[in-house]
Amino acid sequence: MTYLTTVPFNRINESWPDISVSAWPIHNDIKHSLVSGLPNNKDTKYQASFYKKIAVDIVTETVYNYPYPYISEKTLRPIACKRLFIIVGAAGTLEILHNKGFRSFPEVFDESYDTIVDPVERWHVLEKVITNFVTKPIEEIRDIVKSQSDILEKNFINLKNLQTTELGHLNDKNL
Amino acid sequence: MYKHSELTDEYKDFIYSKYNVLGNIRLIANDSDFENVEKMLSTMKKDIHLPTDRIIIEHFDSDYYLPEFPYGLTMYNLFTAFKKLDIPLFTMLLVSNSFGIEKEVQQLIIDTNDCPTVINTFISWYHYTNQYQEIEIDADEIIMPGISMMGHARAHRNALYHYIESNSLLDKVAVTYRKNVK
Repeated sequence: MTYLTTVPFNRINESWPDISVSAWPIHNDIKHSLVSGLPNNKDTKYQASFYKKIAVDIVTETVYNYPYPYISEKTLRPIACKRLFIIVGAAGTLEILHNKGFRSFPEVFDESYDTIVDPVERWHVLEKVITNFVTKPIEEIRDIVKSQSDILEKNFINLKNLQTTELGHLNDKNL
Repeated sequence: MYKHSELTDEYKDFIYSKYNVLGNIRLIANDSDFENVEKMLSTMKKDIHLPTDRIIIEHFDSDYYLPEFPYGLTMYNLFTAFKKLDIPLFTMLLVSNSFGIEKEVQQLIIDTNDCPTVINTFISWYHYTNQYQEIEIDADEIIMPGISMMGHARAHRNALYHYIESNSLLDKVAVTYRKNVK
């Protein structure tokens, strides 16, 4: 029995499936002026004050073309900051969040993208979802956020309590 | 670079209260050297394992998948190490933020009576904190529709950035991106 090896950046999701969309690497660091702090600084990793100036976090999870939903601090950050989110990640990620007690925003976004396994098809739906939302007038966007505030508050509370909730469930299952 | 464990103290306390933990292995720190994983496992192996014995495998990183190969390479190598050392698989307690990894586990086991325990969670000290601060939602403070904190270069992040840029949306979405330093 031998161990298999691979070279870095040979993950399945590193090969971009859609030649109609450019995925060439960008050769510069990019940081919008609205963003303060260093990347992954503890002050911005979990929560960041500049999120109060934005409506939706377009979360590019660690993986996209991947067989399983993979959830990291990137998905949790908009929840911690009480913001809307769109997940550019593996199919089924929203479903996992729902199973964990979070709510998403089907009244705001076409969330059918979460059910589309084909990465190219999912990508093109995501493009439309993103564009449709961010091109709305800012006043309309503010009203949308206000209309979703109950969900944003409940998601935050769910996140704060999640560890206790999970450990309770594991205890009930007599793990 | 990495702490010894990614599990939160609360998770660790819970697991240690339920099982006789023989050790833990962080795959993110060891997935490029399974000879070392084998060495670590060999120190945890017993002649006879009790039903409550567990080796915690912390799997909080993405795996490597190759076309036509049915498992992630890290998962395949992990199970290979257990088999090489003849450690029963029931001792494996796999904690993973890849939701659905059980399917792969089911394909890798030989005896359905000798199965690892799988916990799917995204709660680790790296991804979660118990110090979230209460903040107020004030929609009138919103000045930018969206943000995308992309982090390290990856194909889907490159593609999203190019999409945003080519559609003149950079004034609608605040982007951060780190070029690939490797």
